[in-house]
Amino acid sequence: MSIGTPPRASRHRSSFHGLAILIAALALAGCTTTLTESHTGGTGTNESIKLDAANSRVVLMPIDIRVTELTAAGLEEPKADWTEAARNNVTAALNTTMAEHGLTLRQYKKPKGAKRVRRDDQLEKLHSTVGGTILVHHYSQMNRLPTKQGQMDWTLGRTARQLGNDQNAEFALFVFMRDSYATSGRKAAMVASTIVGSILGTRVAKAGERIGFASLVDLRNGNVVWFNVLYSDTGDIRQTEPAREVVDDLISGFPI
Amino acid sequence: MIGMRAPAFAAVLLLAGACTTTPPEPIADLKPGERPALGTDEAGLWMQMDAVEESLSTSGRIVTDPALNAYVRTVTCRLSAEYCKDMRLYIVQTPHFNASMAPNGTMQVWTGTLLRVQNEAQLAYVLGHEMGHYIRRHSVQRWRSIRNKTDSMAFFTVTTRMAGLGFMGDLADMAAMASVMAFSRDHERESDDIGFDLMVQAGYAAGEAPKIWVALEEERKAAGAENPSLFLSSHPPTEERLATLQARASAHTGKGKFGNKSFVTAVRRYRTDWLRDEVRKRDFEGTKVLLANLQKAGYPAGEIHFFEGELYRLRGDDGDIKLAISAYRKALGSKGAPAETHRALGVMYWKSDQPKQARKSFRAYLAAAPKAEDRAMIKSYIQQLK
Amino acid sequence: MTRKFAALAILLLATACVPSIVATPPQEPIQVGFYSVTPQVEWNRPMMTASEIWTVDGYALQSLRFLDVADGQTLSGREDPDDKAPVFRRTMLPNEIQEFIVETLAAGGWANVKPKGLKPAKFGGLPGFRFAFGMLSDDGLEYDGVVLGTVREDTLHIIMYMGTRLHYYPKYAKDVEKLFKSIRT
Repeated sequence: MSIGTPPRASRHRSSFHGLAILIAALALAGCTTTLTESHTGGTGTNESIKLDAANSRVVLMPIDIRVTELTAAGLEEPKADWTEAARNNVTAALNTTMAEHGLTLRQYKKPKGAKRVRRDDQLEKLHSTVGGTILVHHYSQMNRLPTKQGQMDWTLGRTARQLGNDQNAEFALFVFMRDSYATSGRKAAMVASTIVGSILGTRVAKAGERIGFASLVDLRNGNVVWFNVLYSDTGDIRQTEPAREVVDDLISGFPI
Repeated sequence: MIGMRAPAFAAVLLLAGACTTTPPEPIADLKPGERPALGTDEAGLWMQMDAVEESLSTSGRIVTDPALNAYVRTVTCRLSAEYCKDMRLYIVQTPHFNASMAPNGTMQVWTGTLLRVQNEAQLAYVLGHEMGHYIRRHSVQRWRSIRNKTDSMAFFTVTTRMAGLGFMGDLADMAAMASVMAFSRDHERESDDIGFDLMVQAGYAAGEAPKIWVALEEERKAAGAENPSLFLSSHPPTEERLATLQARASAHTGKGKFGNKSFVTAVRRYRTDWLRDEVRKRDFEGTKVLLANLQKAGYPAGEIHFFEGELYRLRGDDGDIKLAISAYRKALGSKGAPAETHRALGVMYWKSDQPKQARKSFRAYLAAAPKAEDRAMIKSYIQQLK
Repeated sequence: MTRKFAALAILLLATACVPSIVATPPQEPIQVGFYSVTPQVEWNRPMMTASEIWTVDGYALQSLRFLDVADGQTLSGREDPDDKAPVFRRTMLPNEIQEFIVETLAAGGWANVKPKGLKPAKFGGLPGFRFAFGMLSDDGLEYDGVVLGTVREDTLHIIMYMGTRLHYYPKYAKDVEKLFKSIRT
C-alpha cells in the first residue's frame, strides 16, 4: 500500500466510480471475467439481530444516489431528472417495502448546531469508509482479514448513539446506488464492437449497470448489523415498478 | 500495492471541453437567480456540480475562516451585487494558482491565488474574469460542443478521487488535459473584457488587471515544463490578450483603488502557512520569482528571506547550507521573520559545525515560541550541544 | 480517465488474486526488519507486500506500518530522480524527519496535517524520537496518528500508527504504546 495516501473514503454524496470499479473487481475476484446476470452480492449478517417491526425505530439516512447516461463515446453524462426520479422511486420503494413488513422508516432530520452537524458528517463519512472496507475485506474472499474469523464485524463506534438520540431511532439504514443507462448510440457502438480489450472491456461493454449497497447500523453501539451488495445490469429505476424490484433485491434478507 | 491518491478538489477542475474548432453557438447570458429547468443538459451539469460542491464543502481542504470568506465574498459582491447572491464561495488550501466558477455558481479560489495577487484590485480582476465565464455560460457551451464528438476523451469524471499518481502526478496530468481542454480564445477574450468591465465599474484601478497575468507568466517561465500551471493551461494567455488588456488599462482615465490595506488585513494571518505550502512544491525557480514579486509588493522582508532560506535548506545541494544561513540571518535582521527562523538557523549551524551558534539559535527559538509543539525536542538539542 | 480506471481495476484484481494475510499470534515476538516487536493483540499481517503494514479492521480504518527508509529514498522506500518528492537524508535531525513525514502525507493528499509533541524517545535501546499528528482525508474524515522512529546506520526506521479519530485510532492506541515498549533490537 502506498504510504501517506488517504483511503478513498468517498463521502457518500460524491461520485463513486472508484467504488464501482472496486465492486466490479470484487465480482471478478476469483479471477473470472464476465458478469452477465443480475445478482446480489450476498448478505453479511450478524445472526442475532432481528428487528421488531412494530417497535423498532429505524431512521433512513439520506440516500446517496446518482444516475448517469452512458454516451457512445463512453462519457457518463449526469442526468438531474433521472436522478431525481430514481431518488424518489428508491426512497418511496424503501418506505413502501418496509411498511409492507410493518416497519415505518423515520426520515433523517438535520440536527441543530454546528457541532452536531459536524458529528453526523463525520459519522456518515466513517460509514462510507466502513462500507468500502466491508466490500474489500468481507465480500472478497481473497482479502479476508483472519482476525474477523469470517464475521462481518464492523462498527461506527459509540458516537453513533448520539445520532440515535437526535433522530430518536435505534437503527439507521444507509443506501448507496450508482446507476447508468446507455444511449442508443452506445448500444450501436457495442454491436460494432470497437472496444479494445482491457480489463474494463467487460464493464464498458455493458448497456448500463447498477451498483449499490444497503447497510443497517445499530445506533446503540454503532455496529453494522446487516449489509447487502447489489450489482446488476437490468431494470430501470427511473420507473416506479422496476425501482421496487431493485429495492426488493437490495434489501433481500433484511432482518425483519 | 494500491496507490489510492487523488485530492478530491482536483475533480472540480475537470469542467472542460476540447479545444473547439466550431464557433460557439449563440447562448444567452445567465440571468441572476436563474436555474436551468430539470431535463436540460445544463441541469445535469449543475447537479453534478452540486454533488461536487457538497463534497467540496466538507472537504478537508476548505478554509472555513469566516473573516477570510467574508472578505472574498465582499469583493465578489462589489463586482456584481446581482450575481453574487447566486454564488457560493469555497476557499481551497493548495499552493497553486487557480480560481474557477462552476456553472451552478460554485466559486473556488485556491489559496495559491490569494498568495499571488498583490492587492484587492488584482483579486477583483481574477474573480471578475471567472465570473465572466459563469455569466456567459462558457462551460455549458464547451460541454455541448464536446458531447457530440465521438472521439473526445471522457472528461466529466468528477471522480478523480481514484487511482492516480499522487498529487504531483495528478497535477501534471490535469495540466496536460487542461491545455487540451482549454477555454477557447473567444471565451478568454470575452472573460477578459467582462472581468475588466466589472472591475472598473466597481471602482478598482484598471492598471492592475494585466499585472497578474504578467506575474503568472514570469513564474511559469522560471518554473519550466516540469511544473505546469493548471490555471494557465486552461486559460492560455497570449500576447494578444495581454496587449488588449494593457491597451484598455491605459485608455481608462479614472484612478481607481488598489485596496492594499483591506487585502493585507484579510490575508496576513495566513500568508506564512500559504508560503509554507508553496515551498513544499519544490519548485525552486518558480517560488524564487514569486518571493521576489511578493517582496516588491511589500511583504515583510523577514518572511521573504526566511522562505528563501527554506528553499535552500530543502534543496540541500552543495553550498546551500551557507546560502540558507545567509538568508535566515537576513530575515532576522528585517521585520516579520517567523519564530521558526531561529530553529532553522540552529539546524543549519549545527550541520556546519557551529555548535555555539546553534545553541544560541535554539534558545532564541524557545524564547520566541515558548509553546512550540516541538519544544521538548529542541530542548534536547540544546542539551546535546553542550 | 479510462486508462486510470483500468489501472486501478488491474491493481485491485492483482491484490484480490494474491491470498495470504495471516493473524499475528499475540504475545509472540515478530521480526520486522532489524528489530522485533511483540503485539498484544492479533493483527492482520499481509505476507506478500514490500513492507510491513498491519491492520485489524482494514487499512482505511486503522493501519500500523513498519518502514525502513534509506538515505535518498521517499517514505515508501523509492528513489526520486525528479527531485519532486520529499526524501529522507541521513543528515536529518528529528525535527527535519518530522517535517519530511508531514510533507509526505500532505503530498499524498491528506489535508491539514498537524504534528504535535515532538520529543526524544527510546526505540528499543536506541535513541529516537516520537510525535503525534492529526489530519483529514481529502473527504474531510478526521484521522489521528503517532510515529516512533530512529536513525541507525544512515537508515530511518519508523513505526507509524494511524486511524480514524472516531473509534478506530483509539481502539488500539494503548496496544500500540505497549508494542513500542516491546521493541527489541
